[in-house]
Amino acid sequence: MSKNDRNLDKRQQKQRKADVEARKQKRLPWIFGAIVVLIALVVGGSFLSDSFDNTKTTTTNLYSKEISLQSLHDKNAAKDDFYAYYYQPSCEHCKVVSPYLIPMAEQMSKPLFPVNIEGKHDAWTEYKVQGTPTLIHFKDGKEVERIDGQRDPSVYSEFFTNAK
Amino acid sequence: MTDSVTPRSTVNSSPTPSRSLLYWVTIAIRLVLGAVFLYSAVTKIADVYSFGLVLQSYDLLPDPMIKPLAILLPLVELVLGAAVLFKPTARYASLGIGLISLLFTFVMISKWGVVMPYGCGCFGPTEATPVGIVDVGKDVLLVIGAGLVLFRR
Repeated sequence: MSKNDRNLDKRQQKQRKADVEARKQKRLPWIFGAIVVLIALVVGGSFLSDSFDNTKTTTTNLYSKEISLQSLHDKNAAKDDFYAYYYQPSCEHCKVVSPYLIPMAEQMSKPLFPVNIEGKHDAWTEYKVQGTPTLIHFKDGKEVERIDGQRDPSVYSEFFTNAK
Repeated sequence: MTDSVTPRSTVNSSPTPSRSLLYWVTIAIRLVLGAVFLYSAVTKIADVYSFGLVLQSYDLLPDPMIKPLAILLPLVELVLGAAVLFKPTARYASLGIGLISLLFTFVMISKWGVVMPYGCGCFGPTEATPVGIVDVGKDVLLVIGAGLVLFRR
Protein backbone atom coordinates (compact mmCIF):
# COMPACT_ATOMS: atom_id res chain seq x y z
CA MET A 1 0.00 0.00 0.00
CA SER A 2 1.50 3.30 -1.05
CA LYS A 3 1.68 6.38 1.14
CA ASN A 4 -0.98 8.09 -0.96
CA ASP A 5 -3.38 5.16 -0.48
CA ARG A 6 -2.81 5.20 3.27
CA ASN A 7 -3.51 8.93 3.39
CA LEU A 8 -6.67 8.46 1.34
CA ASP A 9 -7.77 5.67 3.66
CA LYS A 10 -7.16 7.87 6.70
CA ARG A 11 -9.11 10.73 5.13
CA GLN A 12 -12.02 8.40 4.37
CA GLN A 13 -12.02 7.06 7.94
CA LYS A 14 -11.95 10.61 9.25
CA GLN A 15 -14.87 11.52 6.98
CA ARG A 16 -16.88 8.50 8.14
CA LYS A 17 -16.25 9.45 11.79
CA ALA A 18 -17.35 13.01 11.05
CA ASP A 19 -20.52 11.69 9.38
CA VAL A 20 -21.34 9.49 12.37
CA GLU A 21 -20.76 12.45 14.70
CA ALA A 22 -22.98 14.66 12.55
CA ARG A 23 -25.74 12.03 12.62
CA LYS A 24 -25.43 11.80 16.41
CA GLN A 25 -25.64 15.60 16.66
CA LYS A 26 -28.74 15.57 14.47
CA ARG A 27 -30.41 13.00 16.74
CA LEU A 28 -29.72 14.94 19.94
CA PRO A 29 -32.74 17.29 19.76
CA TRP A 30 -35.02 14.29 19.10
CA ILE A 31 -33.63 12.37 22.06
CA PHE A 32 -33.85 15.45 24.28
CA GLY A 33 -37.40 16.17 23.08
CA ALA A 34 -38.49 12.57 23.67
CA ILE A 35 -37.07 12.64 27.22
CA VAL A 36 -38.86 15.93 28.00
CA VAL A 37 -42.16 14.59 26.62
CA LEU A 38 -41.75 11.34 28.58
CA ILE A 39 -41.10 13.20 31.84
CA ALA A 40 -44.07 15.50 31.18
CA LEU A 41 -46.27 12.44 30.53
CA VAL A 42 -45.18 10.71 33.74
CA VAL A 43 -45.76 13.88 35.82
CA GLY A 44 -49.08 14.60 34.04
CA GLY A 45 -50.17 10.98 34.44
CA SER A 46 -49.41 11.09 38.15
CA PHE A 47 -51.50 14.28 38.59
CA LEU A 48 -54.37 12.80 36.59
CA SER A 49 -54.23 9.60 38.62
CA ASP A 50 -54.57 11.62 41.85
CA SER A 51 -57.39 13.67 40.32
CA PHE A 52 -59.19 10.48 39.25
CA ASP A 53 -58.92 8.94 42.74
CA ASN A 54 -59.95 12.14 44.53
CA THR A 55 -63.00 12.69 42.32
CA LYS A 56 -63.96 9.03 42.66
CA THR A 57 -63.75 9.20 46.47
CA THR A 58 -65.69 12.48 46.60
CA THR A 59 -68.37 11.24 44.21
CA THR A 60 -68.74 7.90 45.98
CA ASN A 61 -69.08 9.60 49.38
CA LEU A 62 -71.37 12.34 48.11
CA TYR A 63 -73.79 10.02 46.35
CA SER A 64 -73.58 7.17 48.86
CA LYS A 65 -77.35 7.44 49.51
CA GLU A 66 -78.16 7.23 45.80
CA ILE A 67 -81.28 5.23 44.96
CA SER A 68 -82.42 3.59 41.74
CA LEU A 69 -85.60 4.57 39.88
CA GLN A 70 -87.22 1.37 41.15
CA SER A 71 -86.46 2.38 44.77
CA LEU A 72 -87.92 5.80 44.01
CA HIS A 73 -91.14 4.14 42.81
CA ASP A 74 -91.19 1.96 45.92
CA LYS A 75 -90.77 4.99 48.20
CA ASN A 76 -93.63 6.77 46.46
CA ALA A 77 -95.77 3.65 46.65
CA ALA A 78 -95.04 3.52 50.38
CA LYS A 79 -96.08 7.23 50.57
CA ASP A 80 -92.78 8.23 52.19
CA ASP A 81 -91.94 11.86 52.91
CA PHE A 82 -88.61 12.42 51.16
CA TYR A 83 -86.60 14.52 48.68
CA ALA A 84 -85.39 13.17 45.34
CA TYR A 85 -82.35 14.94 43.95
CA TYR A 86 -82.18 14.31 40.20
CA TYR A 87 -78.67 14.73 38.85
CA GLN A 88 -76.32 13.62 36.07
CA PRO A 89 -72.61 12.86 36.65
CA SER A 90 -71.70 14.90 33.57
CA CYS A 91 -73.84 17.92 34.54
CA GLU A 92 -71.65 20.92 35.40
CA HIS A 93 -74.37 22.58 37.53
CA CYS A 94 -74.78 19.38 39.55
CA LYS A 95 -71.05 19.39 40.26
CA VAL A 96 -71.51 22.81 41.82
CA VAL A 97 -74.76 22.11 43.69
CA SER A 98 -74.15 18.56 45.03
CA PRO A 99 -71.22 19.44 47.35
CA TYR A 100 -73.36 21.89 49.35
CA LEU A 101 -76.88 20.52 48.87
CA ILE A 102 -76.28 16.92 49.98
CA PRO A 103 -74.36 17.78 53.19
CA MET A 104 -76.96 20.51 53.93
CA ALA A 105 -79.81 17.98 53.75
CA GLU A 106 -77.88 15.71 56.09
CA GLN A 107 -77.26 18.54 58.57
CA MET A 108 -80.93 19.50 58.51
CA SER A 109 -81.92 15.82 58.89
CA LYS A 110 -83.86 15.82 55.63
CA PRO A 111 -84.20 12.47 53.85
CA LEU A 112 -82.60 13.40 50.51
CA PHE A 113 -81.81 10.69 47.96
CA PRO A 114 -79.78 11.38 44.82
CA VAL A 115 -81.18 9.80 41.63
CA ASN A 116 -78.88 9.51 38.62
CA ILE A 117 -81.01 10.12 35.50
CA GLU A 118 -78.18 10.32 32.97
CA GLY A 119 -79.47 8.71 29.76
CA LYS A 120 -82.69 7.53 31.42
CA HIS A 121 -85.26 9.15 29.12
CA ASP A 122 -88.25 7.55 30.81
CA ALA A 123 -87.36 9.13 34.14
CA TRP A 124 -87.13 12.59 32.54
CA THR A 125 -90.61 12.19 31.05
CA GLU A 126 -92.20 10.51 34.07
CA TYR A 127 -91.05 13.16 36.56
CA LYS A 128 -91.22 16.05 34.05
CA VAL A 129 -87.59 16.95 34.66
CA GLN A 130 -86.59 19.91 32.48
CA GLY A 131 -82.92 19.86 33.43
CA THR A 132 -80.51 18.89 36.16
CA PRO A 133 -80.15 19.47 39.03
CA THR A 134 -83.79 19.17 40.07
CA LEU A 135 -84.87 18.71 43.67
CA ILE A 136 -88.38 17.35 44.24
CA HIS A 137 -90.17 16.94 47.57
CA PHE A 138 -92.45 13.89 47.55
CA LYS A 139 -95.11 13.27 50.21
CA ASP A 140 -97.99 10.77 50.28
CA GLY A 141 -96.85 9.42 46.89
CA LYS A 142 -97.20 12.83 45.20
CA GLU A 143 -94.92 15.71 44.31
CA VAL A 144 -95.33 18.58 46.75
CA GLU A 145 -92.90 21.11 45.27
CA ARG A 146 -89.63 21.35 43.39
CA ILE A 147 -86.59 23.50 42.60
CA ASP A 148 -85.19 23.42 39.05
CA GLY A 149 -81.63 24.26 38.13
CA GLN A 150 -78.65 25.58 40.03
CA ARG A 151 -79.60 27.83 42.96
CA ASP A 152 -77.79 29.45 45.87
CA PRO A 153 -77.47 27.43 49.10
CA SER A 154 -79.89 29.86 50.82
CA VAL A 155 -82.66 28.86 48.37
CA TYR A 156 -82.26 25.17 49.21
CA SER A 157 -82.03 25.96 52.92
CA GLU A 158 -85.30 27.88 52.72
CA PHE A 159 -86.86 25.05 50.69
CA PHE A 160 -86.02 22.56 53.44
CA THR A 161 -87.05 24.89 56.28
CA ASN A 162 -90.42 25.82 54.74
CA ALA A 163 -91.23 22.30 53.60
CA LYS A 164 -94.97 21.71 53.36
CA MET B 1 -22.05 33.39 -6.61
CA THR B 2 -24.48 32.02 -9.14
CA ASP B 3 -22.52 28.75 -9.27
CA SER B 4 -23.53 27.93 -5.70
CA VAL B 5 -27.25 27.86 -6.62
CA THR B 6 -28.07 24.44 -7.98
CA PRO B 7 -30.75 24.03 -10.66
CA ARG B 8 -32.74 21.87 -8.21
CA SER B 9 -32.91 24.60 -5.57
CA THR B 10 -34.01 27.10 -8.21
CA VAL B 11 -36.90 24.80 -9.19
CA ASN B 12 -37.91 24.27 -5.54
CA SER B 13 -37.96 27.96 -4.77
CA SER B 14 -40.82 28.57 -7.21
CA PRO B 15 -43.42 25.87 -6.68
CA THR B 16 -46.18 25.23 -9.21
CA PRO B 17 -49.62 26.57 -8.22
CA SER B 18 -51.09 23.08 -7.65
CA ARG B 19 -48.21 22.05 -5.42
CA SER B 20 -48.53 25.23 -3.47
CA LEU B 21 -52.26 24.61 -2.98
CA LEU B 22 -51.59 21.07 -1.73
CA TYR B 23 -49.05 22.49 0.70
CA TRP B 24 -51.59 24.91 2.16
CA VAL B 25 -54.30 22.25 2.27
CA THR B 26 -51.96 19.98 4.23
CA ILE B 27 -51.13 22.81 6.63
CA ALA B 28 -54.87 23.46 7.11
CA ILE B 29 -55.55 19.76 7.76
CA ARG B 30 -52.69 19.63 10.26
CA LEU B 31 -54.11 22.66 12.06
CA VAL B 32 -57.60 21.12 12.18
CA LEU B 33 -56.26 17.75 13.39
CA GLY B 34 -54.13 19.48 16.02
CA ALA B 35 -57.02 21.65 17.22
CA VAL B 36 -59.44 18.70 17.40
CA PHE B 37 -57.01 16.49 19.30
CA LEU B 38 -55.85 19.24 21.67
CA TYR B 39 -59.44 20.25 22.45
CA SER B 40 -60.42 16.62 22.90
CA ALA B 41 -57.49 16.05 25.27
CA VAL B 42 -58.16 19.17 27.34
CA THR B 43 -61.87 18.36 27.84
CA LYS B 44 -60.93 14.88 29.05
CA ILE B 45 -58.05 16.03 31.26
CA ALA B 46 -60.32 18.65 32.87
CA ASP B 47 -62.54 15.85 34.22
CA VAL B 48 -60.65 12.61 33.94
CA TYR B 49 -63.04 10.74 36.27
CA SER B 50 -66.05 11.55 34.06
CA PHE B 51 -64.07 10.32 31.07
CA GLY B 52 -63.56 7.10 33.01
CA LEU B 53 -67.35 6.84 33.30
CA VAL B 54 -67.62 7.41 29.54
CA LEU B 55 -65.18 4.55 28.89
CA GLN B 56 -67.10 2.35 31.31
CA SER B 57 -70.37 3.13 29.50
CA TYR B 58 -68.98 1.53 26.32
CA ASP B 59 -68.80 -1.76 28.20
CA LEU B 60 -65.86 -2.94 26.11
CA LEU B 61 -63.07 -2.91 28.69
CA PRO B 62 -62.56 -4.73 31.99
CA ASP B 63 -62.87 -2.42 35.04
CA PRO B 64 -59.14 -2.48 35.99
CA MET B 65 -58.32 -1.00 32.57
CA ILE B 66 -60.69 1.97 32.87
CA LYS B 67 -58.51 4.21 35.05
CA PRO B 68 -55.20 3.64 33.17
CA LEU B 69 -56.91 4.24 29.83
CA ALA B 70 -58.82 7.29 31.11
CA ILE B 71 -55.43 8.78 32.03
CA LEU B 72 -53.38 7.55 29.08
CA LEU B 73 -55.76 8.37 26.23
CA PRO B 74 -56.05 12.14 26.87
CA LEU B 75 -52.27 12.38 27.33
CA VAL B 76 -51.66 10.56 24.05
CA GLU B 77 -54.18 12.85 22.34
CA LEU B 78 -52.41 15.86 23.81
CA VAL B 79 -49.01 14.72 22.52
CA LEU B 80 -50.37 13.81 19.07
CA GLY B 81 -52.35 17.06 18.81
CA ALA B 82 -49.26 19.09 19.59
CA ALA B 83 -46.92 16.96 17.46
CA VAL B 84 -49.04 17.21 14.31
CA LEU B 85 -48.65 21.00 14.41
CA PHE B 86 -44.85 20.76 14.05
CA LYS B 87 -43.44 19.86 10.66
CA PRO B 88 -40.68 17.44 11.78
CA THR B 89 -43.13 15.34 13.82
CA ALA B 90 -46.28 15.86 11.73
CA ARG B 91 -46.09 12.59 9.78
CA TYR B 92 -45.47 10.40 12.83
CA ALA B 93 -48.26 12.20 14.67
CA SER B 94 -50.65 11.80 11.74
CA LEU B 95 -49.93 8.07 11.76
CA GLY B 96 -50.88 7.97 15.45
CA ILE B 97 -53.97 10.12 14.88
CA GLY B 98 -55.02 7.92 11.96
CA LEU B 99 -54.66 4.72 14.00
CA ILE B 100 -56.49 6.11 17.05
CA SER B 101 -59.28 7.54 14.90
CA LEU B 102 -59.59 4.23 13.07
CA LEU B 103 -59.93 2.47 16.42
CA PHE B 104 -62.60 4.99 17.48
CA THR B 105 -64.41 4.40 14.18
CA PHE B 106 -64.63 0.65 14.82
CA VAL B 107 -65.78 1.27 18.41
CA MET B 108 -68.49 3.64 17.16
CA ILE B 109 -69.64 1.19 14.50
CA SER B 110 -69.81 -1.56 17.15
CA LYS B 111 -72.17 0.68 19.17
CA TRP B 112 -74.24 1.89 16.20
CA GLY B 113 -77.74 2.88 17.31
CA VAL B 114 -77.04 2.29 21.01
CA VAL B 115 -77.96 5.19 23.33
CA MET B 116 -74.76 6.08 25.13
CA PRO B 117 -75.51 7.72 28.51
CA TYR B 118 -72.71 10.28 28.07
CA GLY B 119 -72.97 10.67 24.30
CA CYS B 120 -69.98 9.51 22.25
CA GLY B 121 -67.65 11.07 24.83
CA CYS B 122 -65.34 12.31 22.09
CA PHE B 123 -64.99 15.65 23.86
CA GLY B 124 -65.90 14.54 27.36
CA PRO B 125 -69.35 13.56 28.59
CA THR B 126 -72.37 15.16 26.91
CA GLU B 127 -76.12 14.49 26.52
CA ALA B 128 -77.28 10.92 26.09
CA THR B 129 -77.59 10.24 22.37
CA PRO B 130 -77.66 7.18 20.14
CA VAL B 131 -74.47 6.56 18.16
CA GLY B 132 -75.07 7.48 14.53
CA ILE B 133 -73.62 8.78 11.32
CA VAL B 134 -72.32 12.01 12.91
CA ASP B 135 -70.17 10.13 15.43
CA VAL B 136 -68.82 7.66 12.89
CA GLY B 137 -68.45 10.39 10.24
CA LYS B 138 -66.31 12.55 12.56
CA ASP B 139 -63.85 9.72 13.06
CA VAL B 140 -63.81 8.78 9.38
CA LEU B 141 -62.97 12.40 8.49
CA LEU B 142 -60.13 12.35 11.01
CA VAL B 143 -58.79 9.13 9.47
CA ILE B 144 -58.94 10.68 5.98
CA GLY B 145 -57.26 13.89 7.19
CA ALA B 146 -54.49 11.96 8.92
CA GLY B 147 -54.03 9.84 5.78
CA LEU B 148 -53.64 12.95 3.62
CA VAL B 149 -50.92 14.32 5.91
CA LEU B 150 -49.21 10.94 6.16
CA PHE B 151 -49.09 10.12 2.45
CA ARG B 152 -48.41 13.61 1.10
CA ARG B 153 -45.08 13.68 -0.73
